[in-house]
Amino acid sequence: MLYKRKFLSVITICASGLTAAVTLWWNTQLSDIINTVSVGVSPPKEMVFWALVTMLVMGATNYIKSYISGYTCEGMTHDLRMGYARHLTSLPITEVEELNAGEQLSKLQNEISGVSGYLNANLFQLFDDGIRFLSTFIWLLFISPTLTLTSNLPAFIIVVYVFWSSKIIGSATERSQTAKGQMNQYADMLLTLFPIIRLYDAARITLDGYTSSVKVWENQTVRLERTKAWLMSLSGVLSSIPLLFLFFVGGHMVINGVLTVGTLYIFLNLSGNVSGVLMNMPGHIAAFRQFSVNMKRLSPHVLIIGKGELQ
Amino acid sequence: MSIIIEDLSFSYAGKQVLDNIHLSVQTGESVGIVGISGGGKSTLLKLVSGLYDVQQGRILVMGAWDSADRRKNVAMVMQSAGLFPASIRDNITCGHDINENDIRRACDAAQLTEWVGTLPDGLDTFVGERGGKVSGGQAQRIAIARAIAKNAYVVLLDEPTSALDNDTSAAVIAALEGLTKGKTVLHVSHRPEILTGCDRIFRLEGGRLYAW
Repeated sequence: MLYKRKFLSVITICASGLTAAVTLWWNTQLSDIINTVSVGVSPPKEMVFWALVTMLVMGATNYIKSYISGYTCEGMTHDLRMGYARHLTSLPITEVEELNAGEQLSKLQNEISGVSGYLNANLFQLFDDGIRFLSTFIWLLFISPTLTLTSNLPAFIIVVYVFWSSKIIGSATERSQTAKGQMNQYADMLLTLFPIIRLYDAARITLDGYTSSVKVWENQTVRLERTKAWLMSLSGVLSSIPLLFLFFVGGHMVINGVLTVGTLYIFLNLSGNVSGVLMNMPGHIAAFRQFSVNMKRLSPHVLIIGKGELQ
Repeated sequence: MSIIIEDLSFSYAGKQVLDNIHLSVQTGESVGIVGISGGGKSTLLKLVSGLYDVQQGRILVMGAWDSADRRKNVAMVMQSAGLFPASIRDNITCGHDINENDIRRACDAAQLTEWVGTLPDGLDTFVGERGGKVSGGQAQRIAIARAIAKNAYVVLLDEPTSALDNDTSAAVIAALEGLTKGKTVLHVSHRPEILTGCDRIFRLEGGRLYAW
């Protein structure tokens, strides 16, 4: 899908890079203003003027980034739905007759909606986070390697936890999706067997069967949500450690005159771009795993014609 | 009389499917109806069985005029076995309390006993989603055992062997003999040779019933 929309995807990634660069430039100016004010001097007009210009440019780049990424994601969602529809229409009639409407409906309601939602909400956000993380981390290393490494070291340890937890969430998601598909399949089967149910007064047995498939789905979903909540809350506790390190080490450096207040402000302001991105990784990875599970289930049913091109 | 059909007409989607049908079937009699596909044979059986409500005319099955009451008096085997994703036992009993002997008897009559005996879980074997774990012939014989276990006065057969190959059909026909023995039977098919064992045969053409 990315290949088909390669031009717009590259533009979106470039816009993310430009926005990250402007943000860093804005922080430099802000740091200079803070350092100037902290020694009791008013910032010169030129400094304020360029800060205002940077703010405007930052707004413009953010707008362009959001617009292009939204447009690209909508295009990819359209490609996916069309690919699925083309697959269905290309099937021989004998195979179409064998399709389970409940299962297909489940795919449309769950997997395709899930993938569309992910594309719109997360895909380019992931690229954006990656670009912001790399550019900010390199820049902070350039400013103060000691503070950068000490404040972000715990975050790297948390990443290991994140990978482990996301794996668990991924498999729980797959089980929940499978149970939901089976539940929908059962509901479709009830429609097919309606004459038999009436003739043989089989409402009780079918109700028992359906209740049991709902129960399986319910148990899997409750288990998924419980696992998610447990892993995420632990991740939330861990996420406060890098900020504490930043205050502790950074504050100590300011007191000893190694670092200016303005530079510490940059670290605080941009901590979201480095440790924040890492802290948000559980959510990103969980969403990505859910996306990849959905894509795995969908990919055999999306018609791909030509090199990397969704028709 | 087991079945009395009087002045029955039925239409759907603006098309007259059955037109002024009259038919009486005596208790224990076997009546066959032949007709082309889409000619209204299945619709007639669905009306007799009470799956469809009568639009015009009347149908009496074992003294019952009402659709819900007619359903209680008939057992029906259709072209598709229509198995539940459950065990063979549950597919035969449909969740009703039927004792083990009656289930075994139904399996015997439906020629299922030998095959069920080879299964590790016997009657508790899961037939799969849409009966996917059993063959077409086995599925149809389970459907026949279900009809036998219902022990209804009237048996309705809607082309129960048409989706099967010749070898499988033979076993299913033997099973059908177990189902129809001593019962009032209304059997519809597009192949007249299937109906040779019937006491009387009619032809359904243009929505009307004619003697064969």
